[in-house]
Amino acid sequence: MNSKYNEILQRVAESTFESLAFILPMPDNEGAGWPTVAVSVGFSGHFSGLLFLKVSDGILPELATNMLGLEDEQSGPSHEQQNDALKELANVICGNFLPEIAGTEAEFAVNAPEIIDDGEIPEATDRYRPVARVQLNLDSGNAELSFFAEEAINTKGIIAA
Amino acid sequence: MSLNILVVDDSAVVRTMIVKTLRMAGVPIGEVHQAANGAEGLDAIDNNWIDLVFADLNMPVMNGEEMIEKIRANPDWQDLPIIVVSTEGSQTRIERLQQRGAKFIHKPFAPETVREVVKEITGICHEQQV
Repeated sequence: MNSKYNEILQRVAESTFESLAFILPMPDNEGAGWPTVAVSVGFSGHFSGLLFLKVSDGILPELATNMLGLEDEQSGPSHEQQNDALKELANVICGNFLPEIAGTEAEFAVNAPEIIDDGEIPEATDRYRPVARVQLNLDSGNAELSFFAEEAINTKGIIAA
Repeated sequence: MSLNILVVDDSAVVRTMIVKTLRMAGVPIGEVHQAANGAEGLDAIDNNWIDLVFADLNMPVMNGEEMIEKIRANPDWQDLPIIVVSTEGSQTRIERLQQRGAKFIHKPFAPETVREVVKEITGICHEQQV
């Protein structure tokens, strides 16, 4: 892991939670529960890899409600809307993280995010190496992010000048 | 005058967010059409009167860049206003889209940004109604 990548991922993720879903970072949020729902986003192009996002299930209703503007709805967001909101959040984090580390000339194709059935983020993958891993304390729960990329990431000088 | 809108994105959440944001921004909306990929988007343009297209880039079946290419290749649609809404960070790709006459809004976006870009590309936008 590289602390510089961790700092960038932390900043991008916190900013995305705040601007997309109005969910703010908290200094300490131990009672909010462990993350249990996970999503992955694959990408290819300048280099390839995966971003994983895992959140406490308590975040999901607020996430979907805020993103879809359902504050006045009695029934609340459906399970599908909650999963779709989580997928879009992961997509935006991934899309904003990549140019931060690879620069604005690099082109990527970001795949459709997928919910991970067992809710587990892998510690390692066969194809990719771990690059960054951060935890977020948020006002409605906690989140974890892991970013994996191909081995060549270290020799391509992916940090933008 | 109201604008007939087409929103092309593989995420239903994003399509809903864009329409909600347009309403928040006070953009006068007529009919709203939705499509989940570029191919469905082309069908929607072919079968409906569309004044303004919002398009994602990364989509299955046909991506947004290919859809925009096909739109511009059709003489009837060469001047159709297109706004790409994406997290795209590649300046090269953004410039390529701008050369095809598309405007770009970076995600996440604010209603004020949407209003400004819609006004810029269509010349139409009411005052914010929120």
